[in-house]
Amino acid sequence: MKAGRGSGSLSGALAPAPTSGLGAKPWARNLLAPQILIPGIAVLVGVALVASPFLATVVRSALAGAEGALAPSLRNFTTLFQDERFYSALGITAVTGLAATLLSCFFGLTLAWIVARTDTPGRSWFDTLNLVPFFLSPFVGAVSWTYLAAPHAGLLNNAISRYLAGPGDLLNIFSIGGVIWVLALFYTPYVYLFVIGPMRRMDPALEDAARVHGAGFLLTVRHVTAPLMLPALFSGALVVFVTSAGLFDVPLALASPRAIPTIPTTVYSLVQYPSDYGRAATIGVLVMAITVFFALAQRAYLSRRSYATVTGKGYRPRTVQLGRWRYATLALELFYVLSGVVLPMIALIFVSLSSLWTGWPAFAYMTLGNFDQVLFHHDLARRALVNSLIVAVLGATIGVLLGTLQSYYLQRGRSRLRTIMDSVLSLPLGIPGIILGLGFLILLIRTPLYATLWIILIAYIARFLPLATRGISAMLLAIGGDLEESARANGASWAQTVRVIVLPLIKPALVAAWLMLFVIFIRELGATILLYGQGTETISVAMVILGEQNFGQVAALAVVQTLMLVAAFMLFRLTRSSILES
Amino acid sequence: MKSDNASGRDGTHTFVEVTALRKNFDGTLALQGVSFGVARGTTVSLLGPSGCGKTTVLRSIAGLETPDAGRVRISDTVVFDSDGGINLAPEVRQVGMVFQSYAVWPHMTVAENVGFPLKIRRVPAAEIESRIADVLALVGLEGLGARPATNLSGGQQQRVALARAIIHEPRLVLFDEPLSNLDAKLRDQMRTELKLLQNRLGFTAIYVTHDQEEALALSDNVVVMNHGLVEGMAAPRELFARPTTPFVANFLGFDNMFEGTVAWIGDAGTGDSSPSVSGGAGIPIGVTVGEDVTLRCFWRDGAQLARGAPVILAFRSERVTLGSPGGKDEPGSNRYEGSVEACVYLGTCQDYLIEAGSMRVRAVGPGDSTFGRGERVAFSIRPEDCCVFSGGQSLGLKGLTEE
Ligand SMILES: Nc1ncnc2c1ncn2[C@@H]1O[C@H](COP(=O)(O)OP(=O)(O)O)[C@@H](O)[C@H]1O
Ligand SMILES: [Mg+2]
Repeated sequence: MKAGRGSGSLSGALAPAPTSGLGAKPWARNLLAPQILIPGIAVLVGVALVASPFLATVVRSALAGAEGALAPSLRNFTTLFQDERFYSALGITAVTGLAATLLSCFFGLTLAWIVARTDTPGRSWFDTLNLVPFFLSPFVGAVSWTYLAAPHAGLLNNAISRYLAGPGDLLNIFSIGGVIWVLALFYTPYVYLFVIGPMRRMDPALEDAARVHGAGFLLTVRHVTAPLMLPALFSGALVVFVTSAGLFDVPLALASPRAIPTIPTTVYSLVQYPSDYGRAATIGVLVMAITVFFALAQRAYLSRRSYATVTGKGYRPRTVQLGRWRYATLALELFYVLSGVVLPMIALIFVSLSSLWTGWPAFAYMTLGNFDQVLFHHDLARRALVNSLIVAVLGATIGVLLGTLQSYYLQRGRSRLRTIMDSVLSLPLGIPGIILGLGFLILLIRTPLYATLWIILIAYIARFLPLATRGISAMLLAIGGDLEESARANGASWAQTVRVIVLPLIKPALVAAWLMLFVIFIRELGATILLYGQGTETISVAMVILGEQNFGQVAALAVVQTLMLVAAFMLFRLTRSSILES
Repeated sequence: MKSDNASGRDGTHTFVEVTALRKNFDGTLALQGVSFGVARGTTVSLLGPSGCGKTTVLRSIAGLETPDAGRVRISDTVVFDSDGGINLAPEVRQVGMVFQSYAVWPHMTVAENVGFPLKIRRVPAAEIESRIADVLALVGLEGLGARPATNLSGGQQQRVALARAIIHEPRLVLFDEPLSNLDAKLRDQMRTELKLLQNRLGFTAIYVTHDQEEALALSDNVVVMNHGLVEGMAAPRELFARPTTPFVANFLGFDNMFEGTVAWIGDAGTGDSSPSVSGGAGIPIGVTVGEDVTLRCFWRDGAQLARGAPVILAFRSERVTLGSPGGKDEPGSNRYEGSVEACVYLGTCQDYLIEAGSMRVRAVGPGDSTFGRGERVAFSIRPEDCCVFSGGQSLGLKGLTEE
């Protein structure tokens, strides 16, 4: 209703019909008003960014034959469905996605409970530490875990054989289990973020009521706490399943070396020489269909469970006194932070400082040479650093601009299409980066954009713009439209109102969205790997290319990338705490 | 624990006994030694301003909060004793509780909410069903069992919470400001219904509220709390007429409060002792307020009182009688003249602020009284309507009147 009272509707309803010879109908004049036109264009750009790779993929999947003599046909589908390797890739991807989801639900839920509802020592520290993997690159995480748990060469395996007299290949990260493990570590913060809000906001009296009326601690968890957390947990689980199953980085680092097939790595190899775009596009269509199905399922589920958002106000957070169990929860927290952040980072730093990596730190081989190479000498690495920075800064800026305009349309517009647009614009969220990259590759391969930084930029924005739009929309929703209306009523133009009222109010959300996009664009691999060309490599692509030649330089490049991400993370925490204070 | 210490002051069995409860929340002294008792089948209200520790007492009785020290006995079970190291879990204390936020579970239907205490106790399903129907009828929700609990109005959620708290026939029902989230009209209605239900079922209850009308209407005994301490405990009528401390008086609507000194003790004033108040009702004294006004009243406290001692005098504005100036003094009545400083028309009555020398008196006149601003007016207050407290507590009073 609020949005409907916008100044646009007022002028539309109250302005007399034009009597002079201007010729413009009132609705046409309204469409040309800047507050309609500019956000409208941003929405159209967003729709184009969603629709064009979708359509290109669908069309290409329905074309078969030799390059240059393509004809409409369903042959891509029939041959795919007869291919055993496709089914094993599908099965492995489903299993890794499902297992990673279950494991990250366990970690995310437990850690959120520990931080929000118990008296475990160091809770406020863990509240920050639990989120660190969210900002790190899963590709770097997977590579670091190979330094820790590669058979006979990993630090942990060597430690086990040295100090515990165990076998040197107890842990094998190059396995389905390894993929699941690294995915779970990296997706735990997603579940954590989904559930910690409801957990903090839940009226503790709901649990108290169960206790008083006869339920012990465990029965209270079963009958009250768990069912109340379920909607948030289920939403988080769906997001984690879709994104982790579609993630290219981790299977590339951990499954490909042992020729374990997965869907993202299969798409990648189908585009390498000898390529089969038709089959790649066919897989792309199936993945998109599955993703859209999950997105719709989540919407339907959440609309039935409206109590997910029924929360109390001003409840005193009550913590469970764990007694001696505090040490068990502390141990679990430490286990997660060690596995997700500390151990991989230590291994990464060791490797980056070694001229020769033997699976054990040796001071004789310590050197800064790797950093010297990637920062000052190695052409590919230097180019990649510059490219990543350009794409990240430019992409985040364009993304925040488009995101702001789209949110303005979604929150303040009066078009009847708004709810549909909301769904359409957020579709790319679940689409795996490599599938969207494939769509843009098919679409733009014959244009001058191919193998430029622009095609990478377009794919990034298409894939991650909904994140910015969502964050900014939430802020616009929270501040409401009254302030703008009073500014307009006092004679300010739309442009003045936006500049003086709206932008200053949503600035925290803009900063947060910019940093979020910057982090993602610095590390993204899936959407880049099919689109880069000679001269447009990014940091993550350079690591993939170098990975075949030089451990130490890959690690040094990973350290540099991680430092950029950590810097953005710290800025993010700073702005978030200043938002909370104001 | 046998009932050797279980008989209360009035000789009836003390069903719930709370002894010297203390609780400290990181520096906040929420409870500083709270003791009171509840007789079987009666309701005791805990009345006091927000933040005085009422909820903490209730939660300590339910087992949701662990006091630092003290003892709680329900019937013949000691459920908490800091000395004996006893601290029973909430689920075994067999109480029912209605929460301020209702705490109706949003993921369950009305029937599932209400039946929860029985389901947890593994009562057979058929019996649960019939008891749910009974109790829903009792609270006026018949037929709504299948509704999702979130599809209810505030008042209906309140009834669900109430039904859930009594369905398992607990030995004690705890109420934490159950009506405070309802709007005024619904609150009055629910108050009456609660009273009827309580008469009918005869449960023992502890009722927390900051609303004096609720406390007076619903309870057999009222415990007035302030800053984690019990300020006074009495039956509603006694409490209303004869508050024991200036704080209680102020909280219960004694809106005229003055610091004064004792001018005379015994019959020194008029030489005549009014027959209506003799015999245990106290000794007549005169209290000088400001420079010039001396009011006649009764000292009911057994303590010694010296002439010139500081005291606090309090009376209600409704008990002030207004009249035209110049009439004659009745013997023994405190009759004075002043001028109307402000008057507020409220329909059935009018509030007056009257200035008499250094004293400003609040008075309530009938709705059709016509004293205008600046007009001279006579007012009188009967000695038996005045309460006098020894002045040692004057600091506490200052804090109050500044609010
Ligand atoms: N869990 C808690 N943590 C810190 N302080 C608390 C807690 N519970 C109550 N208090 C404090 O104890 C005092 C009494 O609170 P409470 O019993 O809720 O008062 P009431 O119910 O009378 O309003 C208040 O000062 C309150 O701030
Ligand atoms: Mg309270």
